[in-house]
Amino acid sequence: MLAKWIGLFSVIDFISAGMLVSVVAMNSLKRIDGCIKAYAANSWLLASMMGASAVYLSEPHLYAAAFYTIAVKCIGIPYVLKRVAKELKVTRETDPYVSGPVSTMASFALVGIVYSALSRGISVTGFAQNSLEVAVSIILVSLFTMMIRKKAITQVIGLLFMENGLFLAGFSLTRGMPTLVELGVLFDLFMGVLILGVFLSQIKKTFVSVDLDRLTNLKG
Amino acid sequence: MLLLVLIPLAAALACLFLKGRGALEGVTIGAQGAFALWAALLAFEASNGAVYFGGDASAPLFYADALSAYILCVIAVLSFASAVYSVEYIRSEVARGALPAATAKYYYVFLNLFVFTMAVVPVCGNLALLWIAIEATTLVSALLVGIYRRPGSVEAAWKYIVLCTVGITFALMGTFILYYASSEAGSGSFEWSTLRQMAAGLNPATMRLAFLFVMIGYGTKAGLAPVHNWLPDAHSEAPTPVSALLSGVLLNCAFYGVIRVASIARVSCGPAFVQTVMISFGIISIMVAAVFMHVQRNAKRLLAYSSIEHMGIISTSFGAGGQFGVYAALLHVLNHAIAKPLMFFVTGRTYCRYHSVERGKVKGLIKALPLTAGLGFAGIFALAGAPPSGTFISEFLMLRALADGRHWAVLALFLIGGTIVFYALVRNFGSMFLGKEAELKPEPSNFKFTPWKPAGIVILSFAVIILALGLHVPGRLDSLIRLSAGIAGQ
Repeated sequence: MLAKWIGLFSVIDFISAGMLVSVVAMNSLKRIDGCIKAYAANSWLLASMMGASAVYLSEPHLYAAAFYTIAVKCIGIPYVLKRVAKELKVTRETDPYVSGPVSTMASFALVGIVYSALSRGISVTGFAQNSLEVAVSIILVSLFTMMIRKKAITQVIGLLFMENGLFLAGFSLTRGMPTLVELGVLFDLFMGVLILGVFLSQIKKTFVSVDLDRLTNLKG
Repeated sequence: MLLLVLIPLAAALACLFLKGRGALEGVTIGAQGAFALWAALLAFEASNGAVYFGGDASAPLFYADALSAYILCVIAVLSFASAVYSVEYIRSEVARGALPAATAKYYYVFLNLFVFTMAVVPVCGNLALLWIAIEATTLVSALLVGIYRRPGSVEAAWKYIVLCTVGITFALMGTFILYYASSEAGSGSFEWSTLRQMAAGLNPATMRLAFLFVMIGYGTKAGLAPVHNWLPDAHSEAPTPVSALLSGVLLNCAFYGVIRVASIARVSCGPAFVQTVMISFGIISIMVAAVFMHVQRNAKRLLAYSSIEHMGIISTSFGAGGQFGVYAALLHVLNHAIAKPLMFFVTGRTYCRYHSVERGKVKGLIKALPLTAGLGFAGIFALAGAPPSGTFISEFLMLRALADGRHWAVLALFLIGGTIVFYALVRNFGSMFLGKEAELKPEPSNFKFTPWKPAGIVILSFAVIILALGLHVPGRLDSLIRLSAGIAGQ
C-alpha cells in the first residue's frame, strides 16, 4: 500500500529536490547555526529517501542503511559541529568572497549546467532516475560554497554537503550500497569530522582566528 | 595469512599503552620488521597464485595477487626503514625541544596506524573497500603532518585533509559509476577480479566516465598535476621520516587504485583512451614539477616537487604501456621508493644538525657529516635518473616504451623536464653539501646532534640498493615485477 503511494506521488523525486533546495539555501545562510541546521535537514532528507526506497523496493538492508545515516549524519555530525562552533565562538560568516544573492544565482546556473551536461552522458534508469543529476548538482554547488566562504567551519560543512551528494549518487547508481561499504564510508566520514574539529581548534590557537584567508604561509 | 596485516595495528595499540621511550621505539621497529618479513613471505605465496580472505572465492573481500604483494613489499621495506630512522629524528627533536616528549608517544602510535592503513590498501579485493582504506590513510597521516602544531604544519595539514578528501570524493563517484556499468551488463559488483572478467561487456561510454572520475580522484591523492597543490606543503611540513613515507609509498598506494581501474578500463573502452589520459596527467606533472623545482630554495619542498615529477614518470610510462611501459612503471615505483626516502633521510640529518634546509644557509655538510653527504650524492643522481642507478634503468625503459608508441612530443618534453630537474637537484644539494662549513648553529645552543648508528646503516643500505638496482635486477624481483606487470597491463 505504502509502496504504491511512494511510486504514485514520486516521493523519491520530491525528496531529492528537497535536498537540492537545502544545499542552494546554504548559500544565503550566514549564521553558522543555520548552516549546520541546513546540513542536518539535508541529511534527514537523505535518510528519509533511503527509508522510502526501502519500502518501495522492500529491501531490508536499506532500512539498516537509513538507520546508520540517521545515527551518523543526522545526529552525530551535527552534534559535533555544534560543539566545535560553540568552542570556537564563531557565530557568523563575515564577508564571503561572493555575496549571498550572487552565489545563489551562480548555484542555479551550476544546476542548469549539470542537467544539460548529464543528459548527454549516462542516463540512469529505474526508480531513482533524477537522483544522479541532483547528486552531481549537490556536489558542485557545495564545492562552490567551499570556495567562496572564509570561515574554516563553513568549509567543513561544505565538504559534508558534498559527501551527502556523493551518498545520493551512490544510492541511485547502486540501488543502495552494500552495508559494509556504507558503514566503512560513514566511519571514515565521522573520523574525518572529528579530526577536522581538532585541527579547527588548532587553527584558532595558532592563527587566533578561523578565517582561512590567513592560511597563506606556504607558497610556491 | 592475510590476517597478519593486523601486525601494525597491534603495534599501534601497544604503543598507546606503553610507557618509556625505549619500549615505544622497540615495539615500533619490531612490528615493522615482522611486517616486512610477512610481506616477503606473502610475495612468495602470491607469485604461485592469488591468496584471499573473507567472502567466498569468487568475490573475496581481501585478496592478494603478485601485484598486491609487490606493492605491499615496497610499503613494508620503507616502513621498516622509516621506523628505524624515526628513532634518531624524534630523539633529536625531543632533545632540541621542538617536540614535547608526550607528543613523541603519539607520533609512534600514529606512525604504526598509518602503516596499517597503507598495508590494507593493496590487499583489498573490493574497489569500495580500497577507497575506504585510501581515505583512512589521509586521515591518519594528516595527524602526523600536523604533529608539530606550528602555524605552517597546521596549515599544511588542513589543506591536505580538505583537498584530498574533496579530490577522493570523485574517485568514489567513479567507483559507483563502475558499479553501475557492471549492473547494466549483468550483475553489479565492486570486486575488481569479477569486474576484470566482465570488462569486455561493460558500456564503453560509462566506463570512460568512470575512469576519468577515478583518475582525477586518486590522481589528487597520488600528487599528479594539476591537482597536486596540497603535496608540497604536506610533504615539507611533516616530520622527515613521515615525509619519506608520504612520498615513497603513500603516493603509490593511491596510484595502485588507478592501476586496478585502468586494467579494467583498458579492456572495456580500448587502450587508446586510458593511454591518452594517463600520459597527459603524467607529462603535465613532470613539466609543472620541473618549473617549481627550478625556483625552489627549501630542500624538503624541492624533494616534494620531485615526487610529483616521479609520479608523473610512473603515470606516463604506465600509460605508454606495451612490452616495456608497465614493467618500467612498476620498477620505477620501487626505485622512487628507495631513492626519495634516502634523500629525505639525508635532509633530515641536515635539519637535525643545522635546524634549516634552505639553500644558502646550509653549507659544507660534507665536512660535518661526511658519510651522510657522500651518500646524499648517490641519492641526487638517482633522483635525477643518472646511471648507474635503478631510476636510470626504469626511465630508460620508459623512453623505449614512448619511442615504441611513437609519442615523440611526450618524449621530447620529458627530456627537457628531466634536464631542468637534474639542474635544480644538483644546484640545491650541491650548495648544501659542498663548500666551507656554515656558521649556522642549531637552537638551543647547548644542543648537539648525535647520529644514531642504525639510522646510518639504513641510509647506507638504501644508497647501496639504489646503485645495485642500476646494475642488476635480481631474478626473483624481476619475475615478481613481470607477474605484476602481466596483471596490471594485460
